[in-house]
Amino acid sequence: MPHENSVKESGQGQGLAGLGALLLKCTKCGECRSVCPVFNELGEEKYVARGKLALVDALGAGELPPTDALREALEQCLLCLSCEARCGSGVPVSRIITEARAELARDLGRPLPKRMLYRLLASGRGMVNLAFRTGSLLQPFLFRRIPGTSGLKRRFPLPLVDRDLHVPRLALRPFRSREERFFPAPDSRDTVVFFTGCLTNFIHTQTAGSVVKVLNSLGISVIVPGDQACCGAPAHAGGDFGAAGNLARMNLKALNRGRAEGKKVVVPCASGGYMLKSVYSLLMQDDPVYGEMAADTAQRTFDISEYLVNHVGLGNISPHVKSHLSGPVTCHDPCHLNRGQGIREEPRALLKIVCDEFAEMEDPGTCCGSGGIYGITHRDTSKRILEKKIRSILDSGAGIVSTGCPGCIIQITGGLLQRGSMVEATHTIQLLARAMGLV
Amino acid sequence: MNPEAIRLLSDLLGPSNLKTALEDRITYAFDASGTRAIPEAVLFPRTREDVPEIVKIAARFGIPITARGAGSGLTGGAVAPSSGMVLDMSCLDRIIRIDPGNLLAEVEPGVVTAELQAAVEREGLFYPPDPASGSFSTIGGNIAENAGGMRAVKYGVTRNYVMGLEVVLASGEVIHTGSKCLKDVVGYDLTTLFVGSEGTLGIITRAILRLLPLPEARRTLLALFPSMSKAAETVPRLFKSRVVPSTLEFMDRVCIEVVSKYLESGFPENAEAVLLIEVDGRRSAVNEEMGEVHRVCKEQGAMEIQTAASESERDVLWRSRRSIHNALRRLRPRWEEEDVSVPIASIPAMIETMEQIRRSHGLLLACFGHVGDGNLHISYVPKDETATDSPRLGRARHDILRAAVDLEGRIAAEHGIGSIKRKEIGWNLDQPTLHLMETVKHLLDPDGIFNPGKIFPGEEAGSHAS
Repeated sequence: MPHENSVKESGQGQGLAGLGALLLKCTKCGECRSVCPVFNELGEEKYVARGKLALVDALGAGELPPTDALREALEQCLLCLSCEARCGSGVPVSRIITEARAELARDLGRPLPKRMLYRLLASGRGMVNLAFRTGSLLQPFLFRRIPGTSGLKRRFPLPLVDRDLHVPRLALRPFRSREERFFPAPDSRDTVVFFTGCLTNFIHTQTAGSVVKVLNSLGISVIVPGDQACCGAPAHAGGDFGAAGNLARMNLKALNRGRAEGKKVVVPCASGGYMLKSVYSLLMQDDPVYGEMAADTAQRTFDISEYLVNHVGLGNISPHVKSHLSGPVTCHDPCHLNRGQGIREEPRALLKIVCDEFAEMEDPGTCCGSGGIYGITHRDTSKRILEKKIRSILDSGAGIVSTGCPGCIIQITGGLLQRGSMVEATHTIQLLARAMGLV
Repeated sequence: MNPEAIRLLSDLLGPSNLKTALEDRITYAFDASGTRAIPEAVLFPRTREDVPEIVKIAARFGIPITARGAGSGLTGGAVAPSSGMVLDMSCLDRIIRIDPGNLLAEVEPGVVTAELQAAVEREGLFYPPDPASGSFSTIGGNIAENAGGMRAVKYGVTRNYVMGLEVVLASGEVIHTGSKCLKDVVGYDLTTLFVGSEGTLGIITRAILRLLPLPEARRTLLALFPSMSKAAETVPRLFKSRVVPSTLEFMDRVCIEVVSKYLESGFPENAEAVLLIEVDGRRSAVNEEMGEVHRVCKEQGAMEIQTAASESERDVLWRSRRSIHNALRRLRPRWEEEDVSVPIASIPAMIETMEQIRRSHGLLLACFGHVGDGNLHISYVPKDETATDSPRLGRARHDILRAAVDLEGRIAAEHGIGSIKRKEIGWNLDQPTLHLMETVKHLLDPDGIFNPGKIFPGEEAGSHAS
């Protein structure tokens, strides 16, 4: 297939010209209609993959000028990979959408908040930490705590923040520090590198702590490189390949330097893992230095559940489980873990050794509607998609919903609070740490 | 489009349900056939009552109107002419009622087929038509195209399950055909006239569908044969031993090769044909029938027989059949596809002719389909993948359709005529028959506003995009 190869040879950010052969793969059969959460709510062809691809095709052919209406149609995508997983022709929809978003940004510019966000994230650790500190100082003035939960609600009208939006509380201190941290395990049998991801570092610091504690108790030492940065998923989703590429280089450098070099990388964040495993290679394909490093790092990157089940082994973990969680537990499969990395069984295998009763919800792999910043920029559709997920969770009868994505945890927690539900949404590793008596 | 018509439609539907922006129109310019034409407007009726009003405005201004379900058709039936408008019926998606006492369901046309199936199955009922596109195609589209599917050998096609229709005519009048009664000889059978009419006679706004009790059990078997003729002869042998399978699918050697590669799970190298056979009904009868199927396959020289003991094993057996399209598309992104049917006893002869066509035109040609009901799907591309050889493909297409006709078969089995087989429709229909059909069309739609450019030879509705 000469077409496909020529596309594969170039990295992302090559413009619409490189998409011709990929677009040709779409036969417009409409199968994507059956799985797209956004189309399911909005019901128009421009909100489903085949319609979006037709638009990108028309843009490339000069039939359609770059317009805000076109941009809005392309923004209406969670990049949940449902269509991609279902597509018989193997059309790389997310790649085409992000490339088209980049093209439109070149033509139309980017809205200021997004531009600022991508710049901030791409600026590296110093600025992000400063923003975090500013945010954590301002937060008590802007938001009030919701009693009995870790959530916050706004005090005043704020841009992009709905009255009923559940806002996660920033931790008092980020998990990572400026310098590399090393957590040695007694009788260490392996040493891994911990790629935290932003939400785990700034919000779910307990999850980060649990990763270290669980690994240490199982005899695995943990290195946390100090200069790792945002994984770049938001910038990549927005088609800012420059920012995403800079972040990829920063992280690849951090994960392949000094003590970290050549070690397995564990990630407790679905999107972070997906970026390291699949997207960095594409972003760095044309880079002679980082291209190879990206491909090599991808081979050594594991979701935390994947690492525990396949490299440590359930037989070695079970003896450390001190008490079983009471009540049924269900599992939500994050898009970037389930479809992005093909990981479904590993979190369940872990849950089954820590709980007495596992209750599978209906369609555990459907998107929760978070989709990076989609939940903020398209609040209404996101809420409708979330509503379905919440219904499945509640119907399962579980008291805890476990997942492997901090973004999903925030989104689902918001949905549960909205319904006044006491069901707890948490990370699988947190539950394991709890059952092992570590937290 | 006439600004007055736009204003009236916008007043009727509300501005958000009438789209004229290029961004919207481009996304309704195609179906799965590869034909394409950008319509002037896209309309989203929100209630059944909207439809006659829309049609009246379309008629008054002479604007062509093409009703569309999921746009999953393969013959351009849902592509409106560039002077026309598209009516997206998938918004009307209510299951009005499921009536177990009368074994029927009343639905709006936009209901997705698989969703109806799931809903009736929850009540222990069964809607048998199952086009391959069932997870996203709509009932309205299935009726308009008289969709077939895997279970036609035992249960028939969509037509056999439509008991009655509500249809909006070109005058804006609403008629009701058929009834809730299984036996009904009141007047002409207009229901059948509208089923398969490809949106050229009226717009379906409601349907009464016949349901069956959900079979208690089903069993699945996959058999590999050393020759296509042995596999094909298995079919009459099964009927002779009084077994009517619910599914009888076949794949030829090319399919076997590409699917094995795609799934990375090989069939034996010397297998020339695969039969996937399913029986359903009462558990005891099903077990007995499966035994019979097994025996016949063995007698016919099957090299290997796999049976499924559970639903997950059934999925494994079905995986190869379901993967054909995907596997072919991974090999080449675009294939020409023909959908023909022949009388079931002519299947071996048809398959033999396909082999000759494959050789004489230098094609990569895969043949698979519903051997039990005589419906073959033929996918083909030039063997040399760099060739852009449309005259050769055109000749091959001619020969494939001709071969079916020579065997008293039909040029379209379950995909319809649409815009892409209009030139050949006369190969199947003699002049007086075709003329009567055109007269019926003219009588019901004198100004030709309903889905022009379909079925009958005439002007092109859209251009072939691929």
